[in-house]
Amino acid sequence: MRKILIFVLAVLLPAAVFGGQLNIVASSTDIADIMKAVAGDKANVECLMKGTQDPHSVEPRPSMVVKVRNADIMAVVGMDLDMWANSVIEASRNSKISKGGAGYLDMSEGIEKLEVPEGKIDARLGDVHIYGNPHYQLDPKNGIVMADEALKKLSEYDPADEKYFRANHDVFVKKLGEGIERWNKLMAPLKGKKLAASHSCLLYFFNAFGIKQAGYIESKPGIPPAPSEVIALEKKIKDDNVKAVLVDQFFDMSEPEKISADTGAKTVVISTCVDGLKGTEDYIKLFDYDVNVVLEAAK
Amino acid sequence: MKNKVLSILIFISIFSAALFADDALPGGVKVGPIALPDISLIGNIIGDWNQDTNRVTFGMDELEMVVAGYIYPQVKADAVLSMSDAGLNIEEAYADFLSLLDIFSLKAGKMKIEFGKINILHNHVWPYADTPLVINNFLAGSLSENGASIGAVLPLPIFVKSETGLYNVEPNVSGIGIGLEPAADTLMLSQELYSERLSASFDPTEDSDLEIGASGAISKGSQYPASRDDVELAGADLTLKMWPVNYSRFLLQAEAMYMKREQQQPGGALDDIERWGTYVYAGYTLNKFVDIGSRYDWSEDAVAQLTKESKISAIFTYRVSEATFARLQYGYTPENKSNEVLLQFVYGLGPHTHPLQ
Repeated sequence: MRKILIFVLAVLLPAAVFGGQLNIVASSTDIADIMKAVAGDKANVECLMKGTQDPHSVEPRPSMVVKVRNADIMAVVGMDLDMWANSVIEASRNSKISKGGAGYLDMSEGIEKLEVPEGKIDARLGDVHIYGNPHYQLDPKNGIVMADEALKKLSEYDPADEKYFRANHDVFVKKLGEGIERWNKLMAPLKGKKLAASHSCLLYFFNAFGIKQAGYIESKPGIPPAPSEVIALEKKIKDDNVKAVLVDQFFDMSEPEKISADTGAKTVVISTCVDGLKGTEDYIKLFDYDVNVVLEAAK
Repeated sequence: MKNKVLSILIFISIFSAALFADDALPGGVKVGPIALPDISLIGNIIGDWNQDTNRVTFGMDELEMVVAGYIYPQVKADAVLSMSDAGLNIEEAYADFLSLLDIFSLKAGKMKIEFGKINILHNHVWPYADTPLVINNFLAGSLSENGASIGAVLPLPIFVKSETGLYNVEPNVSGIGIGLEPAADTLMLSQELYSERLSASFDPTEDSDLEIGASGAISKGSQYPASRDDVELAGADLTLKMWPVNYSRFLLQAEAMYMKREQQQPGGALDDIERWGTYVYAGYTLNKFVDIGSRYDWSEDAVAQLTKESKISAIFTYRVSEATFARLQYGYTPENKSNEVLLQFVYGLGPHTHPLQ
């Protein structure tokens, strides 16, 4: 039995290592999922972070360097959300996946960016992203843009398998398109309604479904709210009859729970990325989950 | 006084020139801020009460300006200018060839030497306000010299890195600042310094990583070339990080250093001295804003007359943002039963990021 196992491993292992599979590393779980969907079994896809981690505070680790060192393609969120990945890329000494290299893919390239700041930007505004709000994955239409970028990069890198990638891309985009139609129908009653949120990472989600934002707990990104700001938000929630406060999966619940207790608005934890919560294991399930919990809370 | 004013004027000129460099170039070509290097300013303010002296001191310990950016694909340049009461100093200024043959990297210029774990890090990113005793005694607080270093990340399934350096040591000058008098019990080096650090890191669990490192250095002591003064340094370091829940982290960091110094005495006899020192730090990040920690130091001095000292410190840090924090640190020295309280405030302006730590 052992000899058979050794023989099988001896045959399979080189095939896996030398079988022409691309090594793709992604800086977010959403990107990893979309790359996997388009690349199929032509690539081994790894993600540098977990869906339960706040992407603003990922600590680069030496083990990430090992993954990136062997990567053929490095796919990043961009817009300075994953600046932590830069030190990993530099430490890897892998020139092909550095910015400007053939294997570097900035997924934000084709995105219509929201909240691009103008004028002087400094810490008075909080922890502002200077290239705009980078949480674009929360508009499902941007999933199509990301799939297009993935197809473009994979086809450039491996033109021989372009047909295969395109077929996978089309399947994913079709499924996502059906999902968008479904979610738009479900969320139609909330169009024009006001909901509050933990912070502006949910802007793309609101924008996608025509929801108006009643206010953010963190009015300045990354800055804990002053008591007066919480009081002002609570007043707005009551005045505008806001039904729910949407909170991302790693936000400290103490403030939202207090706001709920004071105003009667429900606190809803939504996942802001793939694998952020149980039931959000891929990009489509992410929106199935989020749409469902928002609808429940906003009834 | 004049030198101080001149230093300040030079500093402001460099900073202003960098800040306003998006004015029109000849020919009316405008370069927007996107084309500028990353420019950061980090201020390190320290207040110190020491029971021995019964004095309170408070002020800007160091102002650091960092200018960094790419000068060519895969080639970066970093310059760290440090300003203190001693004047304006180039703490680091080097070109960094990030990827040679996709295996090696090369740094050339003036740089903090990769010996041990924390020497290469700027002290405002340390999780404590003061310098561990062994680093003060064996590395003069910070070893930063002119030279070149070649690094390689070995093609292994875990992260293993080698960094080999050759530096030209400026005799009897501390690693940072100018005009600082070396402490009486501090090792001062001269001539060339050869260094090597080998480190390996792996993840015992998905939410932890363990790094172990070994360092060695060979140089000459301050008596050379007047008489023989050979110095060998060895170090071992361990860093364990664990992330139990979001925003929380446990950090255990320890270094041990060994020094062997062979000095020729008047009369020609060779005298060997061997010295040891260590520190252990354990800290926990409770949430986005608060760190608590404790450090134990023990070190012999680096010169002929042997003395030993130890210190126990308790540290509390409140983090306003990634680059700005306030820290309160209490230290107790058992040998003379004395207490010390440090208050540190570090602020950061601009996008100063650090290499992988």
